[in-house]
Formats: sequence, C-alpha cells, structure tokens
Amino acid sequence: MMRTELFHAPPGAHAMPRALAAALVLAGAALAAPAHARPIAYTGATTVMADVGSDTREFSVFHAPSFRWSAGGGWHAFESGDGATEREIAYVRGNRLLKRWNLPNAQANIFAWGSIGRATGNDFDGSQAAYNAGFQADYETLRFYSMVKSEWWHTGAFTHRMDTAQLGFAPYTHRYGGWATWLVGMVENKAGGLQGTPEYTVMLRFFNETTWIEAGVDDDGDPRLMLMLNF
Amino acid sequence: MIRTLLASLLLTLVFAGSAAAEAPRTIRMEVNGLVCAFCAHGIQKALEKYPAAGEVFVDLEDRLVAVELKEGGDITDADLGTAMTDAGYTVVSIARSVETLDAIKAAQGATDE
Repeated sequence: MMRTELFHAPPGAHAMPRALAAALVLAGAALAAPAHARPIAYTGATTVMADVGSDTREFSVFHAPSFRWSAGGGWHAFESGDGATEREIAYVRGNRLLKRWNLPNAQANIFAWGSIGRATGNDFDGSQAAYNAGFQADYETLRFYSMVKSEWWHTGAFTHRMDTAQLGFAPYTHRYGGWATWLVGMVENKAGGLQGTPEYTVMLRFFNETTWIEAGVDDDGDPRLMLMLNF
Repeated sequence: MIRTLLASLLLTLVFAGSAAAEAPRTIRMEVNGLVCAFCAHGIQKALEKYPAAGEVFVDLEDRLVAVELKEGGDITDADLGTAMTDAGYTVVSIARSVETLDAIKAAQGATDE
C-alpha cells in the first residue's frame, strides 16, 4: 500500500490550543443561544431553514460558495416574553467563518455575520432600516456539542440582543448515511424590550447528511421546532 | 529463437499481470475535523466531482474517507489535498490500496442497506 503523510490544513484551520478548547467548552456550558446549526453548512450547499418557537419565527435561505462564507436572506419575527411587543425584520445576510480548528476527533469554529434589512413592529410607526451583527463559537465531537452565539439588531426605534448557548450529548456515535440523535439543552436570553429572563429549552435533534430536525419544549411548556435542509 | 520469444512473452505477461494486480482500487484518507454526517456530506460532493472517483465512503469514528477509483483512474495527492482543503477539512495522510471499497466498508462494519 502506498501511503503519503500529509497535513493539508485549510487556511484558517489550525491545531487548537487546549486552553482555547477548554474555554469554548466552558463557555458553551455557561452561556446560552438559539436553535441554530452552523451558518455555513459546506462548500456548495444551499440551506433552507425554519425555526419556530413561542416567541420567535425565522425562515432563511443561504448559499455557501465556499466553506468560508455564505450569503442569503430571511425573515425573523420576535415577541417579548409577555407577548406585548412584536417585531419583524426581513434581511439579507453574509456569514463568514473566521477560524476553524480541525482536530483528530473534534472540530471548533468561530463564525461572524452581518445583515441589513427592514424592521416593523407594534412599538414604533412605519418601517425602519435594520442592521445586525453576530458571532457564533462552537466545539463539537461525535458525542458532545457546545455552542455560544450572540447577535444584535439595531434600528432607529430599538436595539435588541439575543444570546444563546447550547450543550448537546449523543447517546451513540452515528454512522455517515444514518441518522444521528442528540439531546440538546438550550438557554436563550433576549434584551432590549423583548424578554428579561432566560428561556430554557430541551430538544431532541435528529440529522443525517441533508436533513436536520430539532423538536423540543421550553420551560413554559411551549414547543420549539427547527428544520433545516441542505441541497 | 522460439525459446527467446516465449521467454519474452512470458515476462511480458507476468509484468502486465503484476501491474494490473497492483493498480489501486481505492484511496484512503485520514481526515481531521470529521465530526458530523451533515458536514461530511460536503466532502462526498467534492470528491465525486472527479471523473476517476466512484463511490465515496466516510467513517466518522475512524476519521476515514475512502474513494473508489474507476478502472484505470486515479486522483493525484495534490488534487485530493485541494478538494479536502476546499471542503474545510484537514488531510493527515493519503494511501492507495488494492482493496475494494466493499472490502473497506466490510472491515469498518458498514454494509450497503
């Protein structure tokens, strides 16, 4: 057998210092985030996503010409915890992979994104230009998943921020071509007139190479559902 | 004269047979960063673009990506490295094997369903 030893590290992909890996894991354990997978699936992927919960509804479509970036657009509706405040934003967005660490049995990533759009709401008149920025850091093995995410929306009428953290555990190591099953815990916190207390959600996550489904329930007993398809 | 011709023919057949037997049927790559089927799908799509590539098999637990080679075909190490890098993964090693993809899948405990 002919064998060649190689180390083709993609630009931006490096062996991750243990301290950083530990920090990401701890951050994932300590903080909170929404039910989103990575903003860039893989090179050439077109991703359609829907995320529906008691106080959030988001639909988006992205295309990734490279694993380093994707672009697309979507629509996001938010409600405050008491249901009194409603805001809707239609946006176009660019996602960028800032850094990736490919480890022997793990991968870690840092993503960032920015959006522009138009916002409407019941706590202000007309529509406003809306601007968004966010980042996501994740660390994943075949049995463990952690993610932290934070994003801001700013308009002339409001500024709000959403922080999310997820921790996941897989009861078995899935095979490529089969379905993976994960148990995921999520904490979300919204600021800026939307919600003042963290929301806790427990979800079951199923995915194979093209389809991602999450279904769960939050601490108010309301359902949460996310669907993502890759083409 | 006849003896020489027969010997030449025999040698030609032996070497031709040997070369055919040694032609690689699969490429095995050890890859870092393989943590989910969702992501590894990009690797499969990237490799299947090469005309010499047949079926692609991924074993996440063993960090293995195996590519079946069509008869007489091959993909250079440089192209493999580029494909994996462009897919966002890190290739640790590349090996060519006379094993069939089915044999590799069987050894990894995977069978076609």
